[in-house]
Amino acid sequence: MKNSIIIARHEIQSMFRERTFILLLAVFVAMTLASAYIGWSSQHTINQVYTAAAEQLRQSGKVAPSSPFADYPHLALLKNMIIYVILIGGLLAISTGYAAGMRERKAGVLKLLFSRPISKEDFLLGKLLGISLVLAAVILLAAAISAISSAFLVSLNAQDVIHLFSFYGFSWVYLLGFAFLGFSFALVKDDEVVALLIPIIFWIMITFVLPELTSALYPTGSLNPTLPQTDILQNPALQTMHDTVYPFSISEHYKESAATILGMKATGTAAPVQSGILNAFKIFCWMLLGLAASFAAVYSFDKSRW
Amino acid sequence: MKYSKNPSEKQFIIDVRSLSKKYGDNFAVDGLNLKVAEGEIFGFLGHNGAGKTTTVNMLTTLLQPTSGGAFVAGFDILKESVEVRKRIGYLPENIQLYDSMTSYENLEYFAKLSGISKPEESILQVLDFLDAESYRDKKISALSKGMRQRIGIAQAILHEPKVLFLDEPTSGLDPFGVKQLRDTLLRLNKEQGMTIFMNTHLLSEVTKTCSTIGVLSHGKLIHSDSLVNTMKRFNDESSLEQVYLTIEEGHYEK
Ligand SMILES: Nc1ncnc2c1ncn2[C@@H]1O[C@H](COP(=O)(O)OP(=O)(O)OP(=O)(O)O)[C@@H](O)[C@H]1O
Ligand SMILES: [Mg+2]
Repeated sequence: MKNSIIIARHEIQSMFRERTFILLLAVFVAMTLASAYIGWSSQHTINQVYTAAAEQLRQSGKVAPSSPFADYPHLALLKNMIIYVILIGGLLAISTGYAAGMRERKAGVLKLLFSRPISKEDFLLGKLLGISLVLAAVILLAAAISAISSAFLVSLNAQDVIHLFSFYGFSWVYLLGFAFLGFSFALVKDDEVVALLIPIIFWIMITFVLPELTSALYPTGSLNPTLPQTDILQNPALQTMHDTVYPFSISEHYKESAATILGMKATGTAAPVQSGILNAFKIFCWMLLGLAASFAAVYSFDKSRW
Repeated sequence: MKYSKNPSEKQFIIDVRSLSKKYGDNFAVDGLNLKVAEGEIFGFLGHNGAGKTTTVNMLTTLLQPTSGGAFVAGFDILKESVEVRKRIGYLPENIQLYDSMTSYENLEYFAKLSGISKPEESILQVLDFLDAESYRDKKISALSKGMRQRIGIAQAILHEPKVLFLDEPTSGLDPFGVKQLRDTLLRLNKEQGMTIFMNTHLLSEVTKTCSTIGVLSHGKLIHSDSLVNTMKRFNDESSLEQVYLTIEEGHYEK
């Protein structure tokens, strides 16, 4: 355990000297800074449109219906963050894991490292701990930025703050899956490019391809990026495809759970959203899959190679 | 300590028994038996691809043998690999370190992993011993090959190992660097009684530093004796180079 902590500390120290990591981190932080404002400004625009329309109705002597956006949850202004976590967060996580797996190989010190009295378990645990803590720091930073910027724009209560941090905690678990995959392939693939390409392909599949085959089939899918609004899928073939692929569509489960945590609700008729618990469980399984890959990679790689 | 003993009660700090490594159908190391006594400087010679690096990889517990085994510093490389690693230092071929970190940061990391809890004192001592204090806060990427080599040696001796394994330590060094390395190894051997196991092609260095030599050919040990005895046995030959070539040729003719 002592060795793992030494390795983890070294990993964290090295990561914050890594150029790619810093670059992606900067983009992620910038998007986090922007997200609350973007969310607030789009809600603000919608409210203005409603007010103007209601005013017109009133002038023409009609009764204006109450605003459908009045009871929008406070944290809804962070809903863009869900997409940023999936897009930039995913890449940042892969790059973190990849850099951790590649570090000794690139430096040519794997042999040196394993000539010291450490075990593969020490190495694995140290690396996983290092990766997890680096991402935890990123997530905490994002959470703090979101909390502060939201507090400026809307009034947050204690409940909101708890939900905000739960959302980021949940996002951390989602991102760990990608980071661990990036780590695994960096350890075992001979070709450095292939080692990076495989987790990126996973990311593309999860982020773009699977949702294309599932929720994007719904006519309203493209309108609401977070929760499907209807269950109108008339074509049985499409319905079958949706039902087959959906259980594996991790990013959608993440989106649905994350949206729920932020307090948004599915509107319209019975949307085919799974129970929150099952969704969250799947994200946990996704992280475990990455963890399993890391174990397999560490036990199969050859210490005398690099 | 469970050093294996020979009849004259001299202790063998490296005791290799029928050690083999097979890659596909080829033996990189083929039934190697080899003993090195404590306090020796052992020169391990052999043509390119003879299996020297593979042997060192197995003795440093980095590589799992296909069959056979060995004791290093009294411990089994298969069953007690952590104990072995606590007692050895290792300088791989073409030493590399973490480029973006300073010499000190690199040494501190390896020292901690070697179980030295307060490494500052050991690091300063070793840097002083190697006359390398001035590289202390330089990044590795800013060091020349020779300087890097010295930090590599510092890393290998920080924890005062009983056996030091060096894989072609002279490659890429200028004559000054070669001499400095030789002096360092002789001092380590004399002052700390460190046993040194060195893979090398540089025969002139072997004559100046090694007390015993072994010659490996196609994974098999074809010669092993003290340097003095070796030179006596081939007394027609004028230099170690001639002796070496005679040993290798004699083997090829068989
Ligand atoms: N990972 C590997 N896979 C397959 N064959 C290998 C591997 N490592 C070494 N070999 C083979 O084992 C044999 C011995 O290689 P080794 O590197 O031990 O030789 P060496 O004596 O150190 O040579 P050199 O003087 O060139 O450093 C060579 O034929 C080499 O091709
Ligand atoms: Mg070699």
